Amino acid sequence: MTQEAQGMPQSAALGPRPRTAVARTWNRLRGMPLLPLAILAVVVFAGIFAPFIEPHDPDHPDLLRNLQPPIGFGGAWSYPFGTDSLGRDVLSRLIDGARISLFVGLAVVIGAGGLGTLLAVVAGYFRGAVDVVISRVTDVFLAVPFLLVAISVVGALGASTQNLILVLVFMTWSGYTRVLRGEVLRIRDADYVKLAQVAGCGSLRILGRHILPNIVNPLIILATLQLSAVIIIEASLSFLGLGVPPPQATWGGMLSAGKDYIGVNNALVILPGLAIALTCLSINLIGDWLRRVLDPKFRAL
Amino acid sequence: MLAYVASRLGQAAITILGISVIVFALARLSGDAGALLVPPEATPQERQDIRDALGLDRPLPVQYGIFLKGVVTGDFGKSFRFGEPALEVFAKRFPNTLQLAAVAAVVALLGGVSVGVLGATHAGGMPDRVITIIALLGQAVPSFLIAIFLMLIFSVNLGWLPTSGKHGTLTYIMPAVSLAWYSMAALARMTRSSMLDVMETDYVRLARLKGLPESRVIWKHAFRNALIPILTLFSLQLIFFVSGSVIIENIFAWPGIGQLTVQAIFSRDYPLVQTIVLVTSSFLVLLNVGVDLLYAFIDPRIRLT
Amino acid sequence: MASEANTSPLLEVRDLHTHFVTRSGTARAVDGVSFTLNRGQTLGIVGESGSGKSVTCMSIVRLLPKTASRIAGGQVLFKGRDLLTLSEDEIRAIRGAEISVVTQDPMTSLNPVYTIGNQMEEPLRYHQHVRSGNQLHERVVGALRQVGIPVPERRVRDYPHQLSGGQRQRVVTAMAIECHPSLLIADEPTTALDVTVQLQILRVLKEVQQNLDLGMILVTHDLSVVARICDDVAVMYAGRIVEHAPITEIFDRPRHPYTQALMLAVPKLNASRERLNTIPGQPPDVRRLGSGCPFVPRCPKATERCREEYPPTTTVGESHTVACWEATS
Ligand SMILES: Nc1ncnc2c1ncn2[C@@H]1O[C@H](COP(=O)(O)OP(=O)(O)OP(=O)(O)O)[C@@H](O)[C@H]1O
Ligand SMILES: [Mg+2]
Repeated sequence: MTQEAQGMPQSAALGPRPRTAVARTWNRLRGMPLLPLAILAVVVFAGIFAPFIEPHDPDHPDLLRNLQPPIGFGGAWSYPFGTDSLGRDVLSRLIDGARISLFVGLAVVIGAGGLGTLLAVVAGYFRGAVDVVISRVTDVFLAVPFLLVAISVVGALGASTQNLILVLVFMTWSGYTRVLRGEVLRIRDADYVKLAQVAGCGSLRILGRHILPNIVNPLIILATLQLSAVIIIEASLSFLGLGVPPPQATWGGMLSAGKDYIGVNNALVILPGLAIALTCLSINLIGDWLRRVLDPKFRAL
Repeated sequence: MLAYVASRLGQAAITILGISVIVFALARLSGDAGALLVPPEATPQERQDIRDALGLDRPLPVQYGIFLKGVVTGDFGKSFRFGEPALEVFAKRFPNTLQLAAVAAVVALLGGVSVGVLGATHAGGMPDRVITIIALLGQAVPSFLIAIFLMLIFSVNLGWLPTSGKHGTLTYIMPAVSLAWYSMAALARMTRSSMLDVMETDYVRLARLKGLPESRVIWKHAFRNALIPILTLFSLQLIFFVSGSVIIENIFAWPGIGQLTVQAIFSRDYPLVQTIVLVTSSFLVLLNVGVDLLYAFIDPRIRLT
Repeated sequence: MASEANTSPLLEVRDLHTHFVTRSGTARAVDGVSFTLNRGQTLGIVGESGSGKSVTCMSIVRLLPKTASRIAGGQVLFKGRDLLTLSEDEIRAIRGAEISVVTQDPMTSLNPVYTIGNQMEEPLRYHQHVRSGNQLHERVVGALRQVGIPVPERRVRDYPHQLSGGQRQRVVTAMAIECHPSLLIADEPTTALDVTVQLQILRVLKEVQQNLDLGMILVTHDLSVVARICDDVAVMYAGRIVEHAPITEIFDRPRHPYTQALMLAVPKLNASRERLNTIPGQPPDVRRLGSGCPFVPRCPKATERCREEYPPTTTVGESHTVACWEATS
């Protein structure tokens, strides 16, 4: 050991040693949440290809075959997860529910993340009066019980997928702004950004080259956290009948309908419940992992 | 200290004003505020009277002025559904929600903190792993699902707990636990990481070097310092207790404002909806000011500067 | 030593081994350390960063990170009792009462959310069961006065952030001595302070050590500090004591090449605050120690034998021991 250290003093300076690079990759892989990634992959696949893999029309009722149990509890292969009170295929509805959950989740995350990031960058970069206004507005939105507002807006505008997404975007961008604004402020004060300014780089260039790349990590982490939160909120609202309107299959809506058949066919509650829990758990675990990999110090929300 | 209180109250006032703008804007967002704010069964004459009173035919700033005046004087309009002033309807139900939220908050805080401390003091060990899993589940399983499962187990199968209503201690258990569930998990995680940070500080080491018993080191020296981030999260969670009550109250038929909101929306009782959102939000903002004052009590560095 | 045969030493550390188990291997942070310390005597421990000084100190009071560390062998005899075999409660009764530790950073060592008085009362309550408020107050004020805090009656109601760094270190020192310990371990007590304050704190330490007839272990990077207040010096390198001698001996006749390099690195008369890192080369990674002397890569006099076998500790003068083949032959 000591001889090695003596004999090759410069070898370390020549470049990254392949052993450490391999080791680093291996370390990352080893920490990767494989099961959650697999579960999420299944959900995403189901969501994207829903129309092609659904064994039945998810909205087609067949009252003669209603409330059939899943396989293993006396059910038949034609309806592997059984049927609901209207005789609709539970598996197909779960798949369709995955599609709507992911769609609403991603749409809200993209909308709120985009809006929140934009405001954070504007506030943090230009400071002054703009910053004060944006920060105060952010505080206001953070202080509002957004579910209450979301419900009242959906109530006022009428329940539809589009309204749901708009309301959730409108009510949740503030979390991004609060966290990212701080990051932007910090980065803006960093020496290399000041240097770039002195060197005559324009604002846009500095934003694109220095600021945005540096807030990508916290943005990804926040977005992952929000994705599972939005899926839960969508399910909650649909559960109340204020989310995505029927007959569209949603996990929350399925639960809401299924709860009246507790004791008759528990699968109607357990299956959509599992779908929500597994999906959100997977997303959270992946989020935790991303946080560890991307930014160990980051601990907002 | 006085300046600190004053500045926090000033900020709160601005926030509440902001909320009033949002609430005001919401009714106008749908295009025709008249359709929302005028009872559907009103005669044309009544309709016009209300429109005039609310200034619905005048420019938006004027409308907002009228709205704000109403808010300040406690006149939130009449609930269509109940035929009483909306504020009175709200005031009758709000205490029920507060009671439930308070019980749930205590459950979440006590449960989350003790679980989090246990995890931190046994970091890496078996209790820690179990706790981490429970906390993760807490954040992935929506509260209404917990509510349904609790109902399935304790009401349907075991028959121990009543499924709905508010009559006596037993009826609090399931709604409070389901409402606390998510926050408890979040608080447990925050407590754990905050405690882990604090346990590595020099002053905790010095407390050990002084020969203090471990319980004293943890609860006196570490915990009080770990408390600020925990409280910050808790104050954010207060919003969840109210938001969550919308769902939980509807599942358990709890006669609070959560149930009232959904009733109001389904009966298109918009004045009542406005009242609920505005008053509840303002209440939460003031509650957060209270939490900020608590910080000052916990940490002398805030108090004395 | 031929004299004092009738009294056993205050502290006798015998062949202490402390290991850290990490992912990348076991770190032998303390690798066979032995020394003795008598009442009224001050031992300085010097050595580069990472040489195991702090771990040695913390092993004595058994306050190491629970999960990662392991005291792998040896004895720590304090007044004849082996501290390593005591129960958790027994060692706790000794910490802060009979053995006190003053740590490095006064800015962070006091709990920010409690008053000075509150924190200083704790050892008295726990170790000496002082209950009455008046008595506690008197004892605390007395201890603060002893370390030279002006108007101590008023300071007890202050919070740490209201005190300067030097005052905080005095408070920590006062806290360490208020239960009248017989051993005081000071781990770099002045590193984080200004030069003038450093001197004051050292004076305070020296004073309380003499007044209370304490045995004291002083860890430092600063040889001028050692020269000022220590009786003996132990030089540590890679978890071992490579040279141990009375203060005059070590300055006049350093035998180990590492000690010699240390002497050169710090100008003797100039009270420099510079850390002892001006010796060319890097200290070894204690996770990868071979069987030879770990100083070899940096040693101008290294031989084949040094690479293969760790040198035995030999006596080269009165109370002067050294672990180096060069000195042995
Ligand atoms: N918590 C720990 N986990 C793993 N290894 C540790 C830990 N603490 C110390 N070590 C190892 O023990 C060795 C000695 O550390 P120690 O803190 O005693 O050094 P020191 O001489 O006090 O240095 P300094 O002058 O910087 O205080 C270090 O090289 C380090 O590798
Ligand atoms: Mg040290």
